[in-house]
Amino acid sequence: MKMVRALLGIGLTASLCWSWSSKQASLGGLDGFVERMGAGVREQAMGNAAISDSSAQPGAFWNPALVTSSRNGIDITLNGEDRSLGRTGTSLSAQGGVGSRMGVGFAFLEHGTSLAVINEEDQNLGSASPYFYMAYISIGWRVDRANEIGLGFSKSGYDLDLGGKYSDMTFNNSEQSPLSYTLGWHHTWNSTFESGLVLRNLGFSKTLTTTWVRSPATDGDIASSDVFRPKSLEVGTTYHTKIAKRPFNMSIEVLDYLLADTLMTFDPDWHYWTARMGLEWEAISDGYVRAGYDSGNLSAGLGYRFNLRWEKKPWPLEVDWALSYESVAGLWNPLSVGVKTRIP
Amino acid sequence: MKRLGALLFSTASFALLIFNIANAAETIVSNFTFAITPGSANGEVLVLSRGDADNANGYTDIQLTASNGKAELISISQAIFPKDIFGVNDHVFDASTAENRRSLSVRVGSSFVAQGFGNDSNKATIVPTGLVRVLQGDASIFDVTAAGFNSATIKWPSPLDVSAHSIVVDQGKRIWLARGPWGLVKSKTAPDQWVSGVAAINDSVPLYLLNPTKSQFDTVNVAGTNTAATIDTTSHLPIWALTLDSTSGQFWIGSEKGLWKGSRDSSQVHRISLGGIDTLRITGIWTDSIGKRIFVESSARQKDSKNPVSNTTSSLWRSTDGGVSFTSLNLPYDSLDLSISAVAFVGNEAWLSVQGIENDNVSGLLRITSSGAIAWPDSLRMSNRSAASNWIWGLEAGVVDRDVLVTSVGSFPLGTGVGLAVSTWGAGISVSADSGKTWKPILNQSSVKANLAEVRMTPSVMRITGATTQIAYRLGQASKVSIDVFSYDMRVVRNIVRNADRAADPLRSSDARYDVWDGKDDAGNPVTLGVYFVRVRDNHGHDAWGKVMWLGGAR
Repeated sequence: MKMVRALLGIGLTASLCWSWSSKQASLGGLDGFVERMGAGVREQAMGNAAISDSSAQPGAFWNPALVTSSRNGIDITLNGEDRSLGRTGTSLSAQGGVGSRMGVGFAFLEHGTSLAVINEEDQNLGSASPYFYMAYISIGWRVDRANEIGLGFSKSGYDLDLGGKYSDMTFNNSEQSPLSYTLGWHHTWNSTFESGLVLRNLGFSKTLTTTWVRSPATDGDIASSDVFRPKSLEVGTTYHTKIAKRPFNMSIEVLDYLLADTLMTFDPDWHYWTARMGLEWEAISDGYVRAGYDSGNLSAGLGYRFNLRWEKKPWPLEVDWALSYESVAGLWNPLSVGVKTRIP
Repeated sequence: MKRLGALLFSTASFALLIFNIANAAETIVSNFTFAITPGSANGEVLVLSRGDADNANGYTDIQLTASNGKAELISISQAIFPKDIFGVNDHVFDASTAENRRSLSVRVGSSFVAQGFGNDSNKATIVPTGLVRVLQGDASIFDVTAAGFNSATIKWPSPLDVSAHSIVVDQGKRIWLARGPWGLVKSKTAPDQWVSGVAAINDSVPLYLLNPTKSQFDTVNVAGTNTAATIDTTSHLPIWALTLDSTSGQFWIGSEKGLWKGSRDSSQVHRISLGGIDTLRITGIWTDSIGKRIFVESSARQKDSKNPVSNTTSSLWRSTDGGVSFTSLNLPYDSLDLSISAVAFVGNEAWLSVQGIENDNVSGLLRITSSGAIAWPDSLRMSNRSAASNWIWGLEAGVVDRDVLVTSVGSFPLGTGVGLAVSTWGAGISVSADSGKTWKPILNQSSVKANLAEVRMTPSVMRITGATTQIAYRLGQASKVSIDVFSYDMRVVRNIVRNADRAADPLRSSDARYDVWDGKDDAGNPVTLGVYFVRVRDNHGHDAWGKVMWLGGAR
């Protein structure tokens, strides 16, 4: 009961944080929207609340400490989605154990869309399919039976697909950010509680911020701009119990984005707070029902694990589906499908 | 494998939006317009455009009619300039003195003539390459030719110095050009007689240089010479402005030092004093059709004890008695720091199109009557604007319907009265059939599907710092409209309008005065590079979305 009260407390805090974050949204869009949209269809159905869930994949994306959870083979995930307004994305990941205590993993996310290119003269110049991506590689270390730590590196980039569209401008179609790193910690309190802590998108500078100069055009026709990737502090917990004698998981986390290129500031104008929550219930044997909440958006999903065998070894294959509702925009996204397997 | 995503959703994910690119009748060569020239028919104006895209440079012939005091469009046809010839130089907005801040266009008989500019080795469009003639055979057939300038190598500090700063048509329908240090030059024949591919102004045409000591024009033949070396610049004054007194047939001449009047044929000229000053640098002269009302502009770059950095000093003079006397105009003109690109005379009023020199965001019309300049009516005055701004008629006064620069003005016969038209940088033209009381925009814009079936972003790629994109949509019925901009992950970054009244329209219902996005969020900060989605929602249950790519931003 004490744990339930603790969870309710975190939930209340998350709700307050969300109402506060509504004010902060006026500060503008955050870089890294691909990252905020998450990776993994199971996790999407659970509101992307995944940093404290040892079953979440890809660990390289959510919490680098989680890559140590794949000790009995290589876990592979492949996910794809087609959101409303032609926003399509994929993610691919793999992670596995190295020795008895270490794990490594990688993940690749990308999202893009297509749009008609219309110039200032209201003339169609064709179409472009710009896309944005992030790549991750992580190492995790199992410190003891209850604690894992991890270190991950990531890069982001984009391709504007505007080459040849404008005769008066040459674009840097592909630009990449410098390397960022992420620190993660995962702790197992007991059979019912896990928690996670992630410091995401740190940089190799005095302020620990990833900064770079972005130049969309090669000939200076578009002014270069100094950009940085907001650091974030993410704290979450996962609670395991049973409902109707079947496993039930609940995860809650809060996130704090620092919107300034400073080591730390307590000025609320430079922080963006948000919260996530996810539920998962194994309604039938190997069949899952999920629901989630992520920064005002709602989601739900189903999953089923097929317990196949390959050369007399178990070869699980899980198929997941998610439905999400982007509430402010009023958009339903029913086409998110992912598969997950473990190569023994 | 351009995208990994194509492996999974190649069939479902990349359905392109199919836009209707077929334009309705309203099709201007480019919405970036720079000069208005009255046509030969009642209600006809020729609009000079310079745009970025191919086939976006040339004239648009617009036929209008007046109905119940409103200007109505009848037809449009185009004449595209030859490739790499432009009717507007690159410094039309940022030249430090006035003579290079206007684009020239005249009608002579059945021809329309503009100055053509080409690119220098740095791709700057500053090299005068000739005169572009558009010959009007019938309503839609044009013959475009470029008549060459003097072929001698241009070695002046800037080729713009020896470009044409004024074009005048004499009573014999020949073209006269004021070319700064190269004095005056006259075409060999009238433009209607020009032969395609044969230069109407070339080496064999002499230059007429203003000799202030002798108060006469000296004739210089430059055939076979280096023109720059042939000209004696110490004995002659550069000529920056020229116009014809239609009554006397004499020229008004604006020189580096003073205003002059006289005839080239008699070679005799005399200096005219402006308020007791006869050495002002004259950069513009405009007269009405009977030569009675005259405006004279002075513009010079100079330093003084107060301003060690060069500043432009401007003044505006007016005569209402055919040039017998001139008075300085009665408005805070110096504080406005303006240059004049054109003057239109309508009844007892004159409309001057003006642009800020140091502040290139200022532009609009000065409205001048016999009693002086007219400021905005009290209902339009804004407490947050400087008093000087209240003299310039532009967006707030309804001359244009969005925040764009006004580049020129012209008048033309329209019905039984006189029409007014202004050209703009990015919004086509605005026309008025009731002496400036109401204005109608005419733009190059594609039609949009009705009932919020489509949102068209123009442009859909915001490339230039400070750019805006117009959010175009069409309603089947009058509605209250809300417009929001979303980031790729569907967070609201900007509200454009909330429950704003918008009318049904056969082409577009968007109000360009409000329905634009400047790439900023609600806090006024530029958003980060990316693709953004614009939702237009009416009060009848319709949503429509547009996409725009923003390349600026700092986060």
